[in-house]
Amino acid sequence: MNRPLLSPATVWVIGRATVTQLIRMKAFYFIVGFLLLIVCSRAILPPSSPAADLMNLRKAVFGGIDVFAWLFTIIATALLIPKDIEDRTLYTILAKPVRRGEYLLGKLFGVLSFIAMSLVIMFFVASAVIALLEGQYVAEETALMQERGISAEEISSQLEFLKSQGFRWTLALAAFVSFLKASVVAAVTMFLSTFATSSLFSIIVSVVLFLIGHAHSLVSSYYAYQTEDSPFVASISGIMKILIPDYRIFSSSEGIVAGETVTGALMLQTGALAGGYVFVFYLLSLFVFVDKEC
Amino acid sequence: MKTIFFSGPRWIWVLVFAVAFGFARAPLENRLTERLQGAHLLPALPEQQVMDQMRQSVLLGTLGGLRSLISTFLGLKVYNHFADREWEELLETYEIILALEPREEAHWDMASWHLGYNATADMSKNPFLNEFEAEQRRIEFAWQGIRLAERGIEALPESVKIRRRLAGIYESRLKDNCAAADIWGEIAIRRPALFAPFSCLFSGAMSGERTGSL
Repeated sequence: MNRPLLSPATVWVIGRATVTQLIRMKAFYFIVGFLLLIVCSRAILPPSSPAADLMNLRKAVFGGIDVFAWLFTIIATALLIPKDIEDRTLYTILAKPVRRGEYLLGKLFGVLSFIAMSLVIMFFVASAVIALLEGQYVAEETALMQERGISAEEISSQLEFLKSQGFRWTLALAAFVSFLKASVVAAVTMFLSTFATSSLFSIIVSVVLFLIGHAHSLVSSYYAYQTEDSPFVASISGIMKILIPDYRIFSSSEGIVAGETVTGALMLQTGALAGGYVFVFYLLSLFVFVDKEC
Repeated sequence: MKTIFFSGPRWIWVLVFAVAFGFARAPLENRLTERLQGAHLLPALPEQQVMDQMRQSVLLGTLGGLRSLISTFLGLKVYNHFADREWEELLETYEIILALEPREEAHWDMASWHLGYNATADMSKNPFLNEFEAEQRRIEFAWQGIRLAERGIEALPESVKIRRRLAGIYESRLKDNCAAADIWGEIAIRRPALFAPFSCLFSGAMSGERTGSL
């Protein structure tokens, strides 16, 4: 009897096992690091007006979410396949009627589910801290302005501004964009780990690719100017743009956190691009992994 | 088909697919980047002059969500320059901050306040400068504050806060009440409620009858 190319049930089982594996690796502990970041940022950030204070906290916390998401994704993804080989789990899995495509998709699905769960936790923790601080500032400012005899209209306008710098549900979109970036990072790292000889190699190369992918437009524009548009610089820059994912596109979370208006169409296009990256790098991983002697 | 893909060295095919995908996505990415920049969700690339001033740490900071954090901590550096009355260094640091976060109204406001108010006041009290030189440098800093505020208005055309700062510098530092009245006029169009209690003074200033501050 012919088996389907991809069985959702098999992918689901491997995905669940991957989440369990990550939980056993105590991967959730990195959220403790995030909580420390929140505490430290409150202590280190320069003192300013309540509105600026709220905005600074928002930027620090959501900047932290973004960095934690991509950094953790690289480490978690790079460790998974080599660990399965080391533990001999991979042989047991592939000895069963499991296709390699299902195995890779299950792993990717597991990592992405874990990242999504972590982002949801971090988002709610961050939102709670921002909302609490906002409530505290609103109460303090209201009392202060009433004491000074400021008109009700002016108080309401000042409070509206203060609230606009605090918690907003659109901040969830910033976490979503961080998830999209993490998805692309996961797919690229998984591709690297299908031919890498060690986890360390995958982690280092993936981090380097991430930095290049983020900076190549900035750096190539800088060197093009410095070398007066040299064809050599243009060629190198072109090759990098074609081979390495453009991670800068997935950094719109900063704009969202700063309070810029975001449209559904832009989110959809960014999501579709991230989906395209994940699909292509999954296929490339499969292409390498399909004949790999484990 | 299977034999073609699986016969030669595998990395060649991987490279071919990666390049084909790269060519397919490049125009889409360029368009999306333009749209995101148009919606101010992605910042434009900093100018060459500013990139020269940025150290590697700051350049790295523009990556992966650290842009805002770096600009916040550069704010601490600004405070040190302010405390030490190092105005040229303060301006250099602000150029980096403004390149990192050009849509942040508070940065433009503070930068023009530091240059237009604090640096100009400091020149008048500087014991190492003779009267002529102090006056020259005071005016120079006032104009630097004005230029920063004007760049801020260009970046944020609806900003009332930066306009108030600009009007203040014209009025208190250059004693140019006409220029200040023009700016207050622009503010009045954007925030009429702000002017309701002073409408008679404002109309006087606009017609040139009153030369003092509003």
